Amino acid sequence: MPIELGHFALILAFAIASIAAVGGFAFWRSGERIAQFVSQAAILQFVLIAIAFLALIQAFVVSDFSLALAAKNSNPVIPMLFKISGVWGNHEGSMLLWILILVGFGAMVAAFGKNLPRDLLTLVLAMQALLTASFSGFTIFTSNPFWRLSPAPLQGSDLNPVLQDVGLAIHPPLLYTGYVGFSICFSFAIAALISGRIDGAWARWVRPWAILSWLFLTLGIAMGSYWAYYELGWGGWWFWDPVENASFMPWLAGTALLHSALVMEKRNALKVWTVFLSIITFSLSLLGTFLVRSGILTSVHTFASDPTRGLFILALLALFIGGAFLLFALRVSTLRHGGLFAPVSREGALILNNLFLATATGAVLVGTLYPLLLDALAGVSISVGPPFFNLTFAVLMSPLLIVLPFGPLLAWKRADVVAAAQRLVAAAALAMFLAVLIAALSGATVSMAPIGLLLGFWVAFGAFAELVERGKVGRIPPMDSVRRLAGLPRTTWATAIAHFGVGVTVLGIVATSAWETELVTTLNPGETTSLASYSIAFDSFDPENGPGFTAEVGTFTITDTDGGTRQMQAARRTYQASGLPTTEAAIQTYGFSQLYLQLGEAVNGTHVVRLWHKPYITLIWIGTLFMAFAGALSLTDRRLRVGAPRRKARQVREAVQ
Amino acid sequence: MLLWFIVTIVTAIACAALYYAATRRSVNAAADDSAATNRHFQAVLATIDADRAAGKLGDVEAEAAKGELAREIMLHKTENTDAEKGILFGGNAAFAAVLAVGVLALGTYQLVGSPNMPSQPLAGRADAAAAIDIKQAVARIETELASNPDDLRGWRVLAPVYMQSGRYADAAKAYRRIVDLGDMTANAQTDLGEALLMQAEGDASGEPMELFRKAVALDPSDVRARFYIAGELTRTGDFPAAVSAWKELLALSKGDEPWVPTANRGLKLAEADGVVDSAADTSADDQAAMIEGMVSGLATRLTDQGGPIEEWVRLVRSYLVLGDKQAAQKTYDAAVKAYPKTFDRADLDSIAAAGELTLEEPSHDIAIPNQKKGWTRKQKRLAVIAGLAIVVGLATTLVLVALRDQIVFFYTPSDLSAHDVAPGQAIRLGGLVKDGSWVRDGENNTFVITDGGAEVKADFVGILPDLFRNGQGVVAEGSMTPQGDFAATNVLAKHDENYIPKEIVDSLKARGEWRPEAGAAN
Repeated sequence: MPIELGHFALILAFAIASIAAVGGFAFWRSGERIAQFVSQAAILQFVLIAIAFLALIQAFVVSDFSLALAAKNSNPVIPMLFKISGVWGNHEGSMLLWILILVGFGAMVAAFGKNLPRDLLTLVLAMQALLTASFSGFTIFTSNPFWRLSPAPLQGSDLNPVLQDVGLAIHPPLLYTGYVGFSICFSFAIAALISGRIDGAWARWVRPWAILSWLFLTLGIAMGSYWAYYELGWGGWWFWDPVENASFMPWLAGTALLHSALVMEKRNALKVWTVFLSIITFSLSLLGTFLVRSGILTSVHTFASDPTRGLFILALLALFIGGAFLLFALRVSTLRHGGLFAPVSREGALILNNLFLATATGAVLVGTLYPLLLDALAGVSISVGPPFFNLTFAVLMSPLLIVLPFGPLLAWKRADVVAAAQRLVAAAALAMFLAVLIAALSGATVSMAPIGLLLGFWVAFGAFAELVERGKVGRIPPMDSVRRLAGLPRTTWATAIAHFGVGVTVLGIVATSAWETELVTTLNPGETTSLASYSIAFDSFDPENGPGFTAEVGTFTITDTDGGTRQMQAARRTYQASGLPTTEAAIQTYGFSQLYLQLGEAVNGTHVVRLWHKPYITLIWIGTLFMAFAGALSLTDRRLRVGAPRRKARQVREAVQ
Repeated sequence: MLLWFIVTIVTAIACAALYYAATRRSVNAAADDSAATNRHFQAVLATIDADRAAGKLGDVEAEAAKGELAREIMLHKTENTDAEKGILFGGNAAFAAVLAVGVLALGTYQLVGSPNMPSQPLAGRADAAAAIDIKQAVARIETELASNPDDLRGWRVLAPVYMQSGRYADAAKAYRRIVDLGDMTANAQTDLGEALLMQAEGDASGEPMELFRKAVALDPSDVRARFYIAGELTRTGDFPAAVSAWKELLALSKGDEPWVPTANRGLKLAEADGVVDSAADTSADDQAAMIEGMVSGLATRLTDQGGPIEEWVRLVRSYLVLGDKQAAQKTYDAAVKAYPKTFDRADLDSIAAAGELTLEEPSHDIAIPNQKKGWTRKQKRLAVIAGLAIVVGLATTLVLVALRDQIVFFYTPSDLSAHDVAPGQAIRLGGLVKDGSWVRDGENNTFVITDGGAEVKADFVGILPDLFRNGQGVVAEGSMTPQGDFAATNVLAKHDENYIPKEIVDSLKARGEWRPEAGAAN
């Protein structure tokens, strides 16, 4: 019964969304009543989809194998966490998660949107309802998670062993929140195009949603990268795999959107561009969904491919992206231009930022789609691998990183670049000193590494120049500076922290790419090898039993230069239900660096181990944490808060008096 | 019925909530639309004032900014008064809307739902409980028998269960206990003999043989015992005795028992009296007959009830072994219908390709979503446009150059001879790992990649993927050495049941109709 109730809840949500979409677009001019109707519909959609999702979780938890999805992706012996995360560890369940997050955002707009103009609110929610109706229709008719099996099998086939990891509980929800959150910006853009109402206020409403989605997307991508790093055992943290690119393109476009929405809110300029970016960002999210879900690409993310699903998603994609661009082409002339500014100004810097980010997005898009196009049109099978992306991306990102610290120091409208440069002298000098020092210590070979380090340090230190400037650090007594710094708007801090995070990530990437060392050797219990001043002893090799799997665990002792020892364990698991093997890498963190060990299959009692020393690799993810934290911080800035219109209004009045 | 009741209530509540939201009296239909926008303008005004107070804006600039803001407010006001009001969304429209919601939801559920299926959580299921109960019952009887070993009934229940679950030693012990407890029937002797025979993996010499003879003495019509005796005599090469044993056995038959054909074959074999040729023929016939029997059973079941892809694979393979290509093709087509997804069928397709069956064409009509690019910004500033043009131009050049130099072509071993691949050039090579070619020496691996046409020897240093196996499809990244071998830097294998690199699947399909001169371009 709970399963069928969940199924019905999904269908009812589909029905409500369909009617709300039709009603919303038909009556959007008629004011308060229709706005109330679509708001109520948005909240009902969320409640109903949540009920459907809970019904699925319940069925997985009690191992109800009359649910086909549970029979295919669960097993009574796996731990409870994996039973729950197994709900979205498959195509159908992940679609429902996607929809749950979509309606969650819709409900948030309905709940916090009391201060939105009525026609805008109606159009935004009607657009969200159209998205919900389309994707829940897709789910119900082509990939229904509620299909039943009769008679129910006694055993479920296992959840894919690679997915039996805490990463599955974290990565998809975060990533989907990021992907789907941009649907709000998309809906706002469509609403603006239909109603012709677009001004600074519009950007003010869009920006929090863009920041929220962006911060989740940042965390989702970083988490996915770390998961692939430790679970797949390939030792890499980014492969330029098409599926990774599918998530990275919306991130690049979303980052551009954050910055252009800033220009629009503050200066009422770049309107058309911001609307365009809102559309493009969510279109790239949809494209990502299409690439991953249609089975065009093969990767660990492809659960199962089915031509009907691919066609359905392609049709949805054509409807939403094509429709949005058609609307854009028809209505763009009605949007007014505004806000004049000189090329050297904060606006100019942000345009430069957008230019490079958009170009990088384009380059990644070309590299991702070119093999597919060539295969479809000419039948030639090629792959565009890391060398292509590394080259184009490095060349496009370097100028962006060079100008990045200047941005926050430039004034709106017209700025003095020389003055800004003067404030950055200290950061530049420090960066130069450290880069040269590290390059010299590591043996001063001719390579790109010192330049990369220089860029990383420059961005990281330059990020704080605005804080130093506005806190008058060093020019007034320290206590006064602290007071001034504490009084700065949180968005100023957020800018500095996010840019610092970019620098930290760049440093991690450069250090680990330039100084990574690797060793492949045979090693048997009792033997010792060494890598990068660590000595690694293979102590023992024992069988072990876990929930749903048997394992052979190798225990290693690492001795570092100071004589300290640590233990780590690498394993090869065989999962009972599916009979599939997995490799569990052993990772030991020293400061920001990591030792990574992969244990090969034993042949005639001989083991092969592959060892990496990855200097400063954790900086890559730590940097993204800084970026995400900065996003959260700027969301707490009162000036951006969406839910407190009255308080905001009162404070404005107080400030004016 | 209860479900429909609840479902109707839920629908009614949802519809009522929607209707109420749209029609309640407290709605102020004349609420000022632009209140929110006004608050935005107030905030901008406050920022300008704050900036001037903080000394970031001069008086003149602040006045200019305020002027610009005022212009924007004026513009907004005029636009707002222009906006016409649309048709009203009133009670009737709301009623029609909620009615549509109800009809759509209930209708769709009627179409796709399974309202009559109860939940079946594993813990509460009768069949699961039954499955557990047998084990529990066995355990309970075992403990009872441990304290009371003379309970004949207990042993009688337990012994067949042991036999069925393959615990022959336990079964032999149980049957011996039954005999010891005084059951001197022929059946008990045969049962014990059978258990011992199974325990000895088909060797009936010694005690089982004695037991069978004793059983036949007790009951001359014990077919089972006679069958085992004749079989054992044939196995040990005592052909004259075997011939008479088979004849005695066949004398008991009424003609249509299921064991008669086997007994006849046994007799023929014993009569042939060690003539190897005819014996081999017979056993080959035997084998073919057995396969046919299995195949027809499997075929009937799969066509009637469907089954896992592995069984389809087994059936196709069996037909190919039997040389019945037509039946194999028919079965393959049926399997394709049951499993339209190519990924599910990778093994099937490779077997079918090896057997030169006509393969299902993969659906390659992949269309790429239309991306509209090339929109030019109407930006007044020439400098910005110039900058844009330069950056985009440079980026395009960069992308094109990088694409020319950095793309990696996919080849199969047969392609390599057709294309001139320079040593050191990065390529991806895909095919099957040739059976038995994989040699590991510590971290050094060598294997042969084949596509049925040509072969290439590949070297790889490191740890191969978990599912790398002989006979399996792989894609290796690397380059050719001057010696004509392939030095792999990375090897991708089937990752799990759902993940096989696409190129492998494609090349497996291509193998069925491979034309070396056409190359990969077609």
